[in-house]
Amino acid sequence: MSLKTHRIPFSVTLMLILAVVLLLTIANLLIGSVDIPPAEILRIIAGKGCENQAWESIILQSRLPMIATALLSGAALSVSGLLLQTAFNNPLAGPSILGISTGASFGVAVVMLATGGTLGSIISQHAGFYFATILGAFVGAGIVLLALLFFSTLVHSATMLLIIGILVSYLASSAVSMLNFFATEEGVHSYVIWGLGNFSGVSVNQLPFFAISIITALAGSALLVKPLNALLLGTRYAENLGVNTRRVRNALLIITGLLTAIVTAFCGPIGFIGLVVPHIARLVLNTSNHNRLIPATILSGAAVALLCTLISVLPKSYGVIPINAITPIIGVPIIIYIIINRRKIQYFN
Amino acid sequence: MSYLSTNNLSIGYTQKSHETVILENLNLNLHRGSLVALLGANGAGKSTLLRTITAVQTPLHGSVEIAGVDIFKLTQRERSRLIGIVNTDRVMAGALTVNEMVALGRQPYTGFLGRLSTHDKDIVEQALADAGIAHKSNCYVSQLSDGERQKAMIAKALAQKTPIIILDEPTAFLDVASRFETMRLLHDLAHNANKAILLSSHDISQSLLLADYVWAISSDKQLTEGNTEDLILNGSIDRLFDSQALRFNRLTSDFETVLPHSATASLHCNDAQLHHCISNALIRNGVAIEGNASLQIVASDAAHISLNGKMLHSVGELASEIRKLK
Repeated sequence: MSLKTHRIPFSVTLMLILAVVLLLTIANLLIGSVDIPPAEILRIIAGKGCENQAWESIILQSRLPMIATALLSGAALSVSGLLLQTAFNNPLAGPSILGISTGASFGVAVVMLATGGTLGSIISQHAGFYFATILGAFVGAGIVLLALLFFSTLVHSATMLLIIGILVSYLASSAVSMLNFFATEEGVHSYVIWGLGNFSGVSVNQLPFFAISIITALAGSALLVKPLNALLLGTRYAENLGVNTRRVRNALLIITGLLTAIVTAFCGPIGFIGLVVPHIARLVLNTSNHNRLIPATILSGAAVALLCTLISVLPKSYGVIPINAITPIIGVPIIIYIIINRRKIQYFN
Repeated sequence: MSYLSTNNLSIGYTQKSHETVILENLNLNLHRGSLVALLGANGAGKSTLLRTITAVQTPLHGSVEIAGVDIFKLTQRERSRLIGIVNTDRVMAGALTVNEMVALGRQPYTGFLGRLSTHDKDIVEQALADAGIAHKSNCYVSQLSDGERQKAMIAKALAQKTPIIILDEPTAFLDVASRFETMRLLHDLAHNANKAILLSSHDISQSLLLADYVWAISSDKQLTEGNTEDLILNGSIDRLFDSQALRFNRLTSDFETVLPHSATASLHCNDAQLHHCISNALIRNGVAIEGNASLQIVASDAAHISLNGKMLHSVGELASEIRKLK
């Protein structure tokens, strides 16, 4: 009875996370390899222009697109993780664990390595190269998804399907290693750089496509709220409540596949965000109810990705730290905290 | 008038066009307003039967009908408004409040986004009250005891507003008090809310006490359906288990173990309760009770028990004497 009064209202929590997102956005605008006075940044964003053309281009062509990319990617990966964790009834499920991002990586590797370093470097100047990379990621993630969908007709246990995902992921990595073996040095180099992960790969021209596809897929996830809540009781209860679990699982794999493929194509295989953020959202809200969990996961995912971006540019003129060097530093302690405290955490009991 | 019925139903599994029949030719009836207990040993086919009746598994032959309609011709959503289930699956709903979890029972009636109307909320409140768990409404599911969790799951099934509720071993993990409470709740729901309730159970004495009808699967795979007392009297319950070490006691409505004996004793005691206790102590120590035996026990009260003329002052002393004789 008294418990309810101690809970912070959902809207307040959501506003607090939103405030964190805004603060991190501002911090990301202010901090970068070049110091730009805050007043000038304000003028540039307000569209009043700036005498320093370089500053204007840094803010409009580099920092703003990077912030938008981080926001959207963080949200996309986190929601993917949440959907997979509920559908597979496994707190350690995530886009990278199920092999979806490895599949996307494989597609990208084919484009980068099979076309060869020389061809790659010529095309890399060209818009077509990005397009080929995205297409590669889509096809790669799609192959893994189709494999998962196929196996889901043979295996009914979600845990077994998760294990198949992990195995498929190993297969894709081995294919990538083989491609690496036969590829030119330049090709391997550009693939390795891509694999480090960064949020600055989406140009202003590509941003609308990137944003629209992610927002559409995120909207699709909102339609799964009702069956996801039923799935908290397990498949048998969910089916008894009228949920067509197979159809829901397929819809869910397609949505997570799309989200993961888009992000992976542009930003590289970003680890840990998809795994950790759903836990952060659950811990902060203390609920498993997807009605509240999905918006909170979107905002928390954006916040975590922005935090990673901020840390990555901290060396300023010395360069940019790869995103995948930062996500484990944030992710691993949280996962360990959750594992140690799982008996005290409501959603595990 | 039966509400759910099976017609020449055969249940089991098909593997590579080979049929494994578990139970066949079942013509069973489930009536509204009554509690039915499905009894049988492990592996007798209780869960398979429940899965077939709830349309999770297809029958080998025959059909299952609700109000005359084949359940496999209904959509999943239509079925979800007719049968509510409670099973022993582990749920991940620890961070839902009891209210939120019970509200999931409204899903067969809510729209695409699952929003609850005032009407839905009233039904959830009523279900919580009927299941006796309303006081925990705002607690997290993880904070409930096993018994309270089971009540919450029953409340979920009540919120589903189905005429039929099917429960797979609802008392399996409960302590004695919660087991009684849960069974009493199901009995009351059947009688007062006009539900047709079917449950499988290993708790035979409780089931025979509170169920109106019993479906008893014997050790030789015959399912007998009937009024509880009729099945006790005609010996159907006796045949539940294929074991020499067990015997059904029709007076206590429970199975008891049959121990081997190496000696016999005659027992004279007019107090039924004391007679029962002394017999129990004797049987446990390998002594069978017979009319004419070398050991003669006469008890007038609990403090005056004579064993072949030697006066003992408690059943405990008698038990020690018997053990010495061995």
